[in-house]
Amino acid sequence: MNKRKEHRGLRRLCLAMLLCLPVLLHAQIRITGRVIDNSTNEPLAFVNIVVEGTSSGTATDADGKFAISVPGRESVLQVFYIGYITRHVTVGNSTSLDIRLSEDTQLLDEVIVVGYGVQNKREVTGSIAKVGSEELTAIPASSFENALQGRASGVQISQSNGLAGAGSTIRVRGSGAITAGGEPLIVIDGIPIDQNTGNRIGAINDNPLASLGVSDIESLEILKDASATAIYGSRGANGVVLITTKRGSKGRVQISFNTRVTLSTPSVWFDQVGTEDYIMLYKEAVEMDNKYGGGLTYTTLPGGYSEADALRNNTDWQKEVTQTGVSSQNDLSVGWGNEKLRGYMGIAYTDESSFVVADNFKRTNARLNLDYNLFKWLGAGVNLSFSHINQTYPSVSWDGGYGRALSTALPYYPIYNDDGSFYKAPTTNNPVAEMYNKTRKSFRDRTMANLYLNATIARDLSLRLEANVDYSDNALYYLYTSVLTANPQSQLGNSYRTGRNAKALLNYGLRLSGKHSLKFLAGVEMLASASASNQHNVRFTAGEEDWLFNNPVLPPEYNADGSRNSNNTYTKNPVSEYSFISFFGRINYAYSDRYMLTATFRRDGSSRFGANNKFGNFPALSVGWLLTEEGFLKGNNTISLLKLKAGYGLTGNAEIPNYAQWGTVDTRSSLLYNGQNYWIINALANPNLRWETTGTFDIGLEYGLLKNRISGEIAFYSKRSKDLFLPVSAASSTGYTGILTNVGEVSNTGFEFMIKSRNVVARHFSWTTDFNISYNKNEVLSLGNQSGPDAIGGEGDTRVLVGHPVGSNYLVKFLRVDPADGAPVFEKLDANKQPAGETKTYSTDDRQAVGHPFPDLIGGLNNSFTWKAFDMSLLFSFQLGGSVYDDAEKFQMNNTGSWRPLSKKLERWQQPGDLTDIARMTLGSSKGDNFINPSRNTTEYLHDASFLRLKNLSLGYNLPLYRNKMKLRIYAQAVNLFILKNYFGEPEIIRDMASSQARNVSINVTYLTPPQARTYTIGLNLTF
Amino acid sequence: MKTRNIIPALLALITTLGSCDDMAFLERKDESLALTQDSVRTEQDLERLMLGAYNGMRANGFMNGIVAVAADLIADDTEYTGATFEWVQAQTHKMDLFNPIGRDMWNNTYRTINYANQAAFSPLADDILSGGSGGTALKADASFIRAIGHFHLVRHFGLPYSDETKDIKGRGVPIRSVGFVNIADVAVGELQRSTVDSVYAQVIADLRFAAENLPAGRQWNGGTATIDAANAMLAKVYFYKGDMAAVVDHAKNIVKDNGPYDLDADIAAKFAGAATKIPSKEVIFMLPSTATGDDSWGGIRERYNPSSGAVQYFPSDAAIAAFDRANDIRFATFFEEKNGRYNSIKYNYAHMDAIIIAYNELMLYYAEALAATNDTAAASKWLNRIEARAYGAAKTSAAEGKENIIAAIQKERRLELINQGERIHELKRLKKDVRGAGWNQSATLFQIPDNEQNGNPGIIPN
Repeated sequence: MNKRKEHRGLRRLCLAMLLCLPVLLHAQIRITGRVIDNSTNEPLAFVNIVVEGTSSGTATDADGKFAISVPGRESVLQVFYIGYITRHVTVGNSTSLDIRLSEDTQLLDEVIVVGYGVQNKREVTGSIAKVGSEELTAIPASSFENALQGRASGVQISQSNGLAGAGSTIRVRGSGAITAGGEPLIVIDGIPIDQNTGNRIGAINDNPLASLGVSDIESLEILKDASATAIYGSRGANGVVLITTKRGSKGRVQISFNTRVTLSTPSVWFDQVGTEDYIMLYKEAVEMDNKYGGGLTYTTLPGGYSEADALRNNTDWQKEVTQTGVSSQNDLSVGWGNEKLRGYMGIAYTDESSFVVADNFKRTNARLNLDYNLFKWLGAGVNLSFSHINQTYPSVSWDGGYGRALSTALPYYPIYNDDGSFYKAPTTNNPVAEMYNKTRKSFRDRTMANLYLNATIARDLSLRLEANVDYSDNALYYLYTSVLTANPQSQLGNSYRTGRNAKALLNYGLRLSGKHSLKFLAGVEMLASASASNQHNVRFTAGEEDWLFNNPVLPPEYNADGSRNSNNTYTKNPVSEYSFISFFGRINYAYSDRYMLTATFRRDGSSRFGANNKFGNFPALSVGWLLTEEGFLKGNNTISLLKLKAGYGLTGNAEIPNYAQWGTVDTRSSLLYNGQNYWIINALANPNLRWETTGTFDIGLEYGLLKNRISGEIAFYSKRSKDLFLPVSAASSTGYTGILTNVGEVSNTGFEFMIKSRNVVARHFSWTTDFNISYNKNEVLSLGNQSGPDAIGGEGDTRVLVGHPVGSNYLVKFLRVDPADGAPVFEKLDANKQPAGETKTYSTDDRQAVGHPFPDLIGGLNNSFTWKAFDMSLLFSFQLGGSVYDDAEKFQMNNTGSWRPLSKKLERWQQPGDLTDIARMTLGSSKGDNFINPSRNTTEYLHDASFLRLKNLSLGYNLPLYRNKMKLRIYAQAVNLFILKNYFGEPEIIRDMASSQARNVSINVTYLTPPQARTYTIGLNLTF
Repeated sequence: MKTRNIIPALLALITTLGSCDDMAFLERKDESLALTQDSVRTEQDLERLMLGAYNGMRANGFMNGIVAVAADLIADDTEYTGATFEWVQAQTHKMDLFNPIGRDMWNNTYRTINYANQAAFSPLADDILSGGSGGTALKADASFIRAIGHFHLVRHFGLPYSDETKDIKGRGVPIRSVGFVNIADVAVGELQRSTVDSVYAQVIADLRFAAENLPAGRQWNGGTATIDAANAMLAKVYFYKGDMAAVVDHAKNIVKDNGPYDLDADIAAKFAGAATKIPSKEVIFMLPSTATGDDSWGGIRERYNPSSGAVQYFPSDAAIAAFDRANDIRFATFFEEKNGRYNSIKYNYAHMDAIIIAYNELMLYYAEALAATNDTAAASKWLNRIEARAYGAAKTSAAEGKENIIAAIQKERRLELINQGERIHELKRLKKDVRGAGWNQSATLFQIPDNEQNGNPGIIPN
């Protein structure tokens, strides 16, 4: 029996004794000892010593001495002191202990996942933010990226809305893209996953990252600068997010079980007028329009309602389409391992319902990661994950439902008829009816599999071979019933995507004459992706409609005459494919462990690039200098770490369309001229098509003070993206009005600051603060030959203009409301776009770039406390200086003939002399100079999007069980509990967008978008 | 393994891995995607592209008739009662660069010219044709289409042809004689407007090439250009250029007794042809319409006879007043009084062929050219044919003299071609003001559209 087993047996015996003979526990043994610094042999004062599994503890005196009573010889002392590595010391037979504590150099020894490998933080010369699993699971989000907000400097996370399963946009150090995708490359255990923004389902952007289970993630590294991302070449310009899932480790079986229940409510309610106020406002609008030349006659309210009929109802539609959503998540994981085999298995089930009625997201996901040492020199492993999502999407925004409740559902319309059926409003759909009769469901399966072989060929030389598959199978159903339409219809869309990827990596390490350390990486990677889709459309006889998966009776596919029946059609879309071949290498050189150099190079070829630019080269070089290893700082008591690093490199963005390089001919047989089939060249060849290139200069400083009690990083960067793939105007006499070509330039310049401070580390109390703040300036430098402001635009009059950020709001500037007649007064511009007085005529000639599509500053502040068995954490996230354009407010405030106004419309101008910022009522019928355009895009609807939000507040109680062998944590938490803001709506928002260009360009435009959720959670974690 | 062996081993391995640099792996496309380089390989393929160019002639703003409506608004033969800005602009002679009629005319006509050039005058066509017949017929087709296109454009964006205007720099339109098959060429495809004289020279050269090289045996209703069509168009172009001898040269072999063409007894027959399927002898060239969903002249038909029934375009009082209402069969055929005003029923069909040039029109150019070249006898002969159909009897005799005959021809041409968009060009040809706007001024021209100005900032605007 070896010692280990002996110990185990002893411990079991002790456990039995503990359980059977509790009385023995009262016997106490007194232990004395001393704690000293391992390197200096100096005694350490105020070191905390706690008997594990008990609440008893003490601290060392000025000579480093201590005395403590322990329950038995098997007792373990936890010895901890700030700046030193915590030790766990078993008492054993000694009565006097000399405990040596070593300085915590963890800051430098922390393992960081980098592109195609890992490094010690000491060696890293690039800019990489690491977020651990604890931080990721701290927020009850079904999608990991939602938990990143406020956690990493330079990373802007904007959660799209508070709906179940909703995703976020991630922007790493701003975005250099305009039409191409701006999302970072996401790599899960070596599998690069598709960067598409997700399909738009109704008015909801489906979240492609929702298939990943959060609880399986061990760590997440965000590679921010070119030095870190150039190894990903043409796909690295938007940053890279590396996700590493949990693996088994040697030792005893570890089991973890988490469960939680969450209640979701909207974080923002919109204040709308009721029936009485509506009637008053509507009649006033008619009166005002008449006064100003309208010539209207008031007869009834919209929808033909008399006042008396209208006053019978005052429906709060917003309340009717919302609820307190209840969600639950349960996950169980097991990790185990021995010398030969290590494994991790996780299984999780999430059932999420948001505050919007009929919104539901269910996910089952499972993961198995195995590592097997076949021989001493050969290891193999497999990562398998599977997820199944069953989601029901509500109608929101322009799609009705929640959006309609905030727009065209008038307050005097009832929900139900007397017989209980849904009321059919004369001017609009019934929002509640829409929630249940215009519905979409999706079923999504995703399997990711990874196989690897790791061979040690010689000492310090190893070869890793990997093969990966990522397969998704999605079915999307849509049903529009006869409650809403005379032509009920159903659709079924199927889509499939297969991503395949194989790579070989060769690693070699070399140490010369003790001081020179070299590490080489060389690799090749091949990647191919194919997507296919098809669609089935069915129009039913009213009353017989049903979900297609219920096998309803379908209309025949063919008519009696053999022609296709348009009531049952099937469409198969072309397969869309792309591929990459890449060769890459990296050299890490260190001299005396204090001067570091990293050089990377990647050569990427892609099927997306034109024949003349099939391969692109992406080099990067960075250097680091660990000043605290120099004589003049070594052993300094104040400065414990100082590392200066700088780098420059080129990266690319290859998120361009798959087939944009090809010239194509439309040869469809339906193209007929005089009965004969004709062809047309519908796309011109672009053999010069290439990736977008970003050159990044980056300088950073990592610091640690007071034995790393305070640590952090400061960084400055300057990114210049060129060859942006843009639509540019062509001389239309060529036959083409516009072409897509590589011409644009965008710059991003920024500054990041991060600090982590362990304010108090005491026996019963600890307090840690993390703070980060980032500034980024985005500016369009060139748009090729584009001269007009309207060349590239988005929703709500956002534009891409040289000298301004991508997606600037291009609006007429509102100055005031004229107290004489209540008309809005705008700033007039002259031919040079300079202010030239005032005007009451709304003209698009007076538009100017206003607002800030991106916030100037973003950041987060997290404070974590522990007190005895309690823990508490408060995470604030904030943004400053951004603006939001409310594209719906203009209708809510002006379109009183068909939209329900916001209550703030009651502050309108009513009579000469009134001083207000809200224009007079109108139905858009006033005439001549008195005309007020009700659908004007002006700064009246542009708001400051700054906010400070209590993103997370959690309170936990930790209960050690079975002598610390089992840990139980019960907790309660609230997300988005409060927010300080200037805008009445939700300042953190991403509109549903069908394309990456719209997503880039209309970044700050909202249109009846559901707000973030305010959630309350209780849960427990059990590990043993 | 010793260190010195490692580096070669590494290099060997990388080379092995690198040998999968297989371009085939980077060739990804869906089978349904018809690449130009794979699909267009033979002369027959180019012919299909050429058919695409003929189809393109029916595009909005090219030969679908919408420009004819705008031209008559400008020339006061048509009146618009709606408020849509592009038509109001046309009616008030204030067409700006955003005017959709002008924009569509420019963009769609040039698009069609490019289609024609792609199929015959392009690097793609050169590669295919160099090894075969040389593609003379294809080049003749392309020449015909782009001649029609350039002529259409120069009449609406350029100054009228005259000794005073023809050589003014940049007052014609850009001449496009090579088709684009590559985005890089389009990116540097800016081209200045040529002089009016250069545009006419190109149009004439193209039509002459077409007349000499189009295949014989094509039919008037086959949808593709004929030799007669090219000659008839040459006569028309020369007419507006003022070269009357050339008009006679190109029209005389078409306007003749016992030839393939004649005036239909029913003056409306050629307009009704697509719907009635009764062949007309009067059409020299048209773009056929086979069904209501394939309406070649929808642009003009839909304006005067909208499917919604809500008419906003009417013959003007001046146009109505030009007719001898009691005796002119055309008046009763083309107009109908409804709700207190005259509506045009000239285009009152479910769908229509787009008539590019007809016998009656050519006959009147020919007649005037004959008179101008002092053959008053022949001139009056052809004028009398028109009169006889319109009034039941000839009205003008040779004895009335050259000037009177020409005046009568010009009068009949206005009536014969009423609401076909020719009036504006006639006024300018005769150097007459158009409702106060000088014949050689820009007010009656469409502005070079925003699309062209954005991509070609140096282009001279109107």
